[in-house]
Amino acid sequence: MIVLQWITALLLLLGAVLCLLAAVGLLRFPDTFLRMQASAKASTLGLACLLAGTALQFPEVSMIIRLGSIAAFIMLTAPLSAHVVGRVSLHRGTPLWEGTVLNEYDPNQCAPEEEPTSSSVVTARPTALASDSASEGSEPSQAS
Amino acid sequence: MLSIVMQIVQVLLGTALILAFVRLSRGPKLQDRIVAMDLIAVLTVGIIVAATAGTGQRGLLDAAILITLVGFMGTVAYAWYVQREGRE
Repeated sequence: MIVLQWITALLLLLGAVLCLLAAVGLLRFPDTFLRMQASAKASTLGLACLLAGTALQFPEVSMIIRLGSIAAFIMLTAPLSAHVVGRVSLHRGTPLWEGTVLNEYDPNQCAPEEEPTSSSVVTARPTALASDSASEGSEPSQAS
Repeated sequence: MLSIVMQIVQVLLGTALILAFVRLSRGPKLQDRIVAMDLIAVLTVGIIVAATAGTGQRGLLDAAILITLVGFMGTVAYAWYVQREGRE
């Protein structure tokens, strides 16, 4: 029983720390999408840890059914709501962070660069990598 | 030992709630406020679950289930209204 109490305490502390990290990420990240990613993932894991700790402390059928339904519903709806909010903020034209490497919805950044692979396999890879690094170096100037 | 852990957990979750409220009041765009409201709903559920683990009140979990449902519906409704406002 002492071991079970220690596991419960550890799970509850882990869940609370993960929820706090989600809030810190929501406060400190520079972009709407980064904030949404931090809050959706970390808060889901933190709440799952809290629910598991509570279920270990009260191992009864009624408690486990309620806690399991909360966990299932959170894990179903957190990615869904994050997806909806992300799509809406993308359609509204939310400004991205200036360190963003790739925006696949921007038609200017998604020009195909597949021509160097047509020569030979051995020489195609370094040229492809060089063109990739060059395009990465020039992308922030395009984005800003 | 478990009571001390419960107090620490409540303090951590309360701090997280305060940080989420700071983002809710500061957020430069409407989307940031929607994300903050979503996180606030999840954190409220977490606080209720932690209070259930601390006090053993079984009925609090029904409120947690209710807040989970309403929080998801609220987030989707906010996003829908924001999208409609952006289209017009």
